[in-house]
Amino acid sequence: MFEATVTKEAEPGHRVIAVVGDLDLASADTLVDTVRHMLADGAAVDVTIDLTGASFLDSSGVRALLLVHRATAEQGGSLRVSGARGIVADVLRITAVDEYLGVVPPAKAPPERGPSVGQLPG
Amino acid sequence: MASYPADLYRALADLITAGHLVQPSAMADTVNESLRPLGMRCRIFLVDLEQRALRALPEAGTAAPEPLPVEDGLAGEAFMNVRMRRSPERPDMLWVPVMDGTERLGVAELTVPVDLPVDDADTHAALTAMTGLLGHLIQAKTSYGDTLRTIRRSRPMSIQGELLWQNLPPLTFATDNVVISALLEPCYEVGGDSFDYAVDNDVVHLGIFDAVGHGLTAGLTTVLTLAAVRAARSRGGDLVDLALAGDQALTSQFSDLRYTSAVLAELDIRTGLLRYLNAGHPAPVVIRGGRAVAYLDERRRMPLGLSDPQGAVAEYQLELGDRLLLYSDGVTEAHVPGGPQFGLDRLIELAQRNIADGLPAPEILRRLTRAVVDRQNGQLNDDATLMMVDWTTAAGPRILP
Repeated sequence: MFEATVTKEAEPGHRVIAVVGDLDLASADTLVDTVRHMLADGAAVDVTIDLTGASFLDSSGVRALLLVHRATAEQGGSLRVSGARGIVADVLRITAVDEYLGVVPPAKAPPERGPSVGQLPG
Repeated sequence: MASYPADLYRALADLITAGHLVQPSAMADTVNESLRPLGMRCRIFLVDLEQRALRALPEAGTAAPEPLPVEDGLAGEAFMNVRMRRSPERPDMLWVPVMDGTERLGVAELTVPVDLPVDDADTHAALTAMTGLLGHLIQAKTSYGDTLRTIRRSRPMSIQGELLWQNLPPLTFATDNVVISALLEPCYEVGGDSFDYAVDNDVVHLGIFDAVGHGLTAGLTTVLTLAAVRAARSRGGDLVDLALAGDQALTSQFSDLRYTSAVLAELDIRTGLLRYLNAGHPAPVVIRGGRAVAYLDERRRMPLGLSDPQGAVAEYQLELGDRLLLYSDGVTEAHVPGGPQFGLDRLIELAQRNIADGLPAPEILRRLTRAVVDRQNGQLNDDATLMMVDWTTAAGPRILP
């Protein structure tokens, strides 16, 4: 299952896209097309992708976020990615794209860590 | 009367000479012509890519026997444990592992004269030398035809599989100080995963790669990355140069942000110092004394193809006996719909159990891969790659017959 719902924000030119379900090979194009249409209409340059409802993210989903980032940058706009939790946040961290994509941690829950990071006591 | 070791070595020399003018499909017949004067007969079986069955080489005038299971029977036992096995019912029948160096290719069923002193050390050494030569010959002949390649396939190979398998190094390599073993699934439909290694001047170069997406496009992406990294390595580049070469190759050929996550590493097998660069890939694990003691994820950069200037080389000091386990996310994320993921903890636990059982490294990987594939009821929807590097002092006895 996949849904991408667009909402207008108070600031002009800012749109939030709430992603629900699996952002993967099957749904990646839908997200990219949604953003491209929005940008082509001139409706928005600044985009927030809200991943609060995203349950899965694979490499094709990460690539979709990167394509959205490039599309907004080409219009002089920006991308933020918010709400990533659990395995979705893990994938962004492992792929090391979190800083580049402007990933912000969810508002309430602290960012989750993977099983362990770096060197453990031997 | 008969002088078996000497006769065996003479047959071996005959085989080397005869082998020069043999087409791949006639390998088995040529081997048997060399053995006939000794009253011996040989049936060669090669393991299929998924390492589930041993498949007989064709012989003129005889129907091919059914494939033999790896996990059941004497042939499979000889293959799994890399040890010669003698049939309890038929003392004239031996199963001998066929190796290309340390790479397990299959087994040979040898019918020998009843008076052959198999347990005699010299005879045993001569038999092992003979099957060792068989392995080298089979490997050398494989490139010249389709027979020896296709015998190892239980079903047709996809285009991306053809592309990838031609570019992978052999699945196992060892010196006295290090054992490297790797395995990749699904063998026939593999898409974006690949691995690489090269051992020169006491340095092991390692790479594991996972290109975005699936199918042929992912296959092209991963093979391009592999070639770019290899070219930079042969020019003497350091790990950062290798990553930059991957970036450049991918951005020059694809304009749509095709990327490949990777770990590139160099292990000095004199000192155990491991240098690595993690480009957006799951962190390799260092296993020591049955526990994970480190996850190699320091100084990460984004995957190759995304031209991230931030990545840098990190270091980790291995201890003798450590095992380095590299894997792709298709291993840890393997699951059936609604079921739990295979998980890193399970992977480490299983690896440790097999290490403790004293199994040869390629057999450990075969069992781990089998467990991952079984977790998805035999149907992987993502590539799964495992690579294990064992820094050790006694590699030989465990993986040679």
